[in-house]
Amino acid sequence: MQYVILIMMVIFAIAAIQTEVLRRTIIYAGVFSLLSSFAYLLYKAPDVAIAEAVIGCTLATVIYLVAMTKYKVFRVYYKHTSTNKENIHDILESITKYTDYMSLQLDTISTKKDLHEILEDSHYDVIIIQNDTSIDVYGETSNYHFDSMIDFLNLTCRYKIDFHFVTPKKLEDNYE
Amino acid sequence: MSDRIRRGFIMLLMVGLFFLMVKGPIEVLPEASQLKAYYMTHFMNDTGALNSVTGIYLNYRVFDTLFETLVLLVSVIGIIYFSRHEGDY
Amino acid sequence: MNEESILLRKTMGSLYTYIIIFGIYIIYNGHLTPGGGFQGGAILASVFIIHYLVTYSKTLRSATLTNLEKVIYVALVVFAIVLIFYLNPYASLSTKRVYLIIMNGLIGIKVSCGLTVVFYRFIFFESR
Repeated sequence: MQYVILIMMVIFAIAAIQTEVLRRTIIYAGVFSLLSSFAYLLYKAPDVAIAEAVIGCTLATVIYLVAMTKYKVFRVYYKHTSTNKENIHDILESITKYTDYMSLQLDTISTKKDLHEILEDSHYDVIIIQNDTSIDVYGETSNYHFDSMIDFLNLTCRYKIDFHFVTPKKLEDNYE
Repeated sequence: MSDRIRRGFIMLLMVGLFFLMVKGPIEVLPEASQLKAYYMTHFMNDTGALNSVTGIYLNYRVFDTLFETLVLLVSVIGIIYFSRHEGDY
Repeated sequence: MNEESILLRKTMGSLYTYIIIFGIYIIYNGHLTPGGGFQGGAILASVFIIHYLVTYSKTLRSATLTNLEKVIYVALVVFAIVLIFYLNPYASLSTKRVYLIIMNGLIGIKVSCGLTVVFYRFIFFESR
């Protein structure tokens, strides 16, 4: 019985590192934690088993899932000043593929505002400005989706895209 | 591709460490067994607890418990400081 | 995630009181059976998390809980130091048993306050 649980712990630990989807990793880690709680119970440590079952299996899993849903929305501002209508949807399709791949939720906003006005608004991930000749993509350096999105777009998109890094706004000091 | 190789290497390392840890020789120090014998025979008269774990971590090892709760308090303060929230501080 | 699930609400609403009673039982019987302040406090903190998952209410004063946690920590340290380091040779067995119960209760309240504050901070954390 102990060996069954220990071998299953090894299997779930390997599965937790080897999966690509982040949510499955959280669930596998929760199952690993539950199995380790059983293992503690079999080694006659019920105190540690209770603590592990409550902390590792319930609280940590729920906190990770809530943090996942907090970081799930991916907001894109899209400004289009081009005259020919052919290559409008290409970059948006690429970004849709990226968000499906990363299991994010895409939130596209078409805007006519100026770049500085968009930069004033703090709630954005990526700003795309499409002209006749070039596609400009702006993103903050602190945003951790932006680097992987650059790699993904370089691999998949057919057009040449100019990427610009924007230094993030200075955080307002509202501590006491 | 190199990322997968790196992850596979880490996986093999962890599995090897796990089996080394499970199959490794464990020797018990004689002082530890004396301490265990003392705790097992005396904890009921010393602490008044029937659960030996509670007797140890609230009576013999109070310093451990106090600083462990202090660690939790400090981590809560750190989380409050680093998570910005509109409204209160 | 913002709409309420009726399955979750009915199930957890009926389990609510039993989880509270179970947590208090684990804290109170910490010196007799496996368990103790930390485990019971974590179970009591999970009650608050269920309360969030059921109602999505954001009306919780975390500043009050933080102040309560600090005050309880000071009480814990004073109580433990006075009873263990000064009065331990003179105390009787029943006094020590009461001491264990009170220490378990204080640790339980403190841990539940701390974990609840951590969870609600992660909920309200201004993302990005």
